[in-house]
Amino acid sequence: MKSINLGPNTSSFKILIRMALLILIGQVSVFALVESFQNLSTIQEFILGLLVAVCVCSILFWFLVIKPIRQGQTKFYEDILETMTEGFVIQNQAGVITRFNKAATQILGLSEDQLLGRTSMDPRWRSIKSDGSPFEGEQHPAMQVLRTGRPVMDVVMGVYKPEADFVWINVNSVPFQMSGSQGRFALTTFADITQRESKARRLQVSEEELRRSQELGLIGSWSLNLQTGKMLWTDQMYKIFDEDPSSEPPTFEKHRSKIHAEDVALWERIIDDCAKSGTPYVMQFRALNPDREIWVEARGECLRAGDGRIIGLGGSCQDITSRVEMERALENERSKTAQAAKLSSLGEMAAGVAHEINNPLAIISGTASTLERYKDQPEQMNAKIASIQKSVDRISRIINGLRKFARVNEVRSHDWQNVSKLVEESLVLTNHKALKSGVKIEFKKEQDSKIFCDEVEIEQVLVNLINNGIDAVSELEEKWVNILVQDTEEWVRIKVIDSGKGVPLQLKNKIFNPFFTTKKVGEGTGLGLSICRGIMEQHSGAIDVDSEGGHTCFVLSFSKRLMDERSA
Amino acid sequence: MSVPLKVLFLDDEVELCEIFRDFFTSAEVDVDTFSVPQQAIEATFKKKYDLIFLDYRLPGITGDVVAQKMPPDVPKYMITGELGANPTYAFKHIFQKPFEPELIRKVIEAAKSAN
Repeated sequence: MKSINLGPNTSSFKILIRMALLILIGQVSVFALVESFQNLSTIQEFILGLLVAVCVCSILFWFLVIKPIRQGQTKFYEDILETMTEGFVIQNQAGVITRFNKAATQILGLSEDQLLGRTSMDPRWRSIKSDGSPFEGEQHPAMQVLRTGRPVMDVVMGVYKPEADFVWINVNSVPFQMSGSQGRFALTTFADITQRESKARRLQVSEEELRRSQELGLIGSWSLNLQTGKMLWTDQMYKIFDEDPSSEPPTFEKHRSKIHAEDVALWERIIDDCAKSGTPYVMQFRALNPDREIWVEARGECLRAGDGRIIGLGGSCQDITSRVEMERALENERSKTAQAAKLSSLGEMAAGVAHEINNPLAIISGTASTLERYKDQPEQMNAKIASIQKSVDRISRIINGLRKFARVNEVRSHDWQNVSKLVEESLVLTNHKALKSGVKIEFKKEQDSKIFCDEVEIEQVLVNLINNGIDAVSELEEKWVNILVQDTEEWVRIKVIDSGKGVPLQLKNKIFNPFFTTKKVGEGTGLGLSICRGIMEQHSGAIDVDSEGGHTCFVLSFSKRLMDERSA
Repeated sequence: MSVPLKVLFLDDEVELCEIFRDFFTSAEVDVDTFSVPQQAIEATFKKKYDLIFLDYRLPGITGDVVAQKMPPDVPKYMITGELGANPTYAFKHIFQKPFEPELIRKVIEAAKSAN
């Protein structure tokens, strides 16, 4: 409670009047005494008279001045106690509440009757500590004060309030001697901090949730003050980078030193760019922890002052090592399966290709063995030789097509390729299948269209699509596969349309998934289209399925802008 | 002079048809070649052939299916470039391309003497 320097509340005017009256009486008494001095017989009588006058004046002074002032002061203090917003209680030696103010009843939600006579030990308080554990009556500040005689300050306590769950109070308690009473009292004041406390608790809860989600998501966050150079790491940052949180505070240099030597230059450039221009970033880097190398996905942005100046950087680091490892394993598996699928389709192709080669071989050997007969007919002879040459060329073309497919592990480069040439070379490899299935293949040459690609890969896609088309229509009445090239301002598109009735809507998204197949068991691996999509993505292109005039149509799209950028 | 042996040859490679004709046509052997399966099938019902040689992989059809559509009493041989062709028809023999003309000549000679 604050000390009081101000004057009493009782009307000062009344007191002044009373004091003036007293002085008047005193003066009159002294005057009367001096006047009567001549009449008094002895000095003793005079002194007696003086004493009587002083006594009368003192008594009058007590009743007229001191007592009203005291009463005024008491009321003044009581008024203060009643009007202040802090609760106030006095407990006697036994811990029983003997006095309190109105705020105490309001804060605690109790009536005067309920409060008066209650002790700290009363179980109805149901008091708790800020961590939610029970606050034993023995430990209440007032009880400690009564036991030890020493003040107990700033204690946060939750008290059960019948109509509003818990009320949080900040308690100060001091020892106090009551005049006229024996023993020690405890004077306790308390303020309602429910709102502040619930905010703090909410903050604590959200901090806890953040900590937990960071821990579960292996995400740490950091901030850097560019002016002071001071860096902050959350707990999870220490865990990710395998650092001791109790060691010296993190520095930018330490943050940098964690990054793999091959990634650090890129990281520095990105951070520098973020700090200068405010460009947010997402990147992945490797970090060197004491026992292993980890992969980290880092995201960050700049922190700005009110005037827009960049004053700091903030970001997150996520440990994505297991994700990267899994992706690698999957990629490995995928390429193995893709290789197997390639081999199995190569096997199928080899059988057909053998047929393609054996036919011209039969022509060569047959023609060669009849050449003898035409030795006297040069024209006939030349025609036979030309026929042999034609068959040899035919075989070479097929072998060439195969050679490309065999170079699976070679690093190949992208180049501008004539689309018609790619389609024709693909047709060499699919002709036998079309022939076998009685499917008519049509292709209209588009002389000038060019795409920037790996010719082998795109031929692989085309062979796949054409073969799929042949398979799809081989049992239909109407059997054809058309290949169209469209060259627009922005796109080069290759369409492979077959006489089938299109892909059902619900399958459109699935057909590009690995292992999706509609073919019979043993006829398809289901990897064809997923590999095609992978190849098209590597070419910044796209593969889509559509329907053209009610027929199935696969479209390969190559963006001219992207191809120009890539070829530049 | 006896009636010439009538031989039918079906292959979609026109040049092979020519070679076959060149090789085996003689005073004693008539060779009809076809590159379209349907025409070959029809021909077998118009004319009584003694020997039939069929390619396996043909446009829209295979040699074994063609064989099934032809009169069953005529001996049929397959000449194929296919690796491991597995025809459903019981051909008398399967020749691999590129074929040895002499092996086929033996078959024709044998048929000639039986004629």
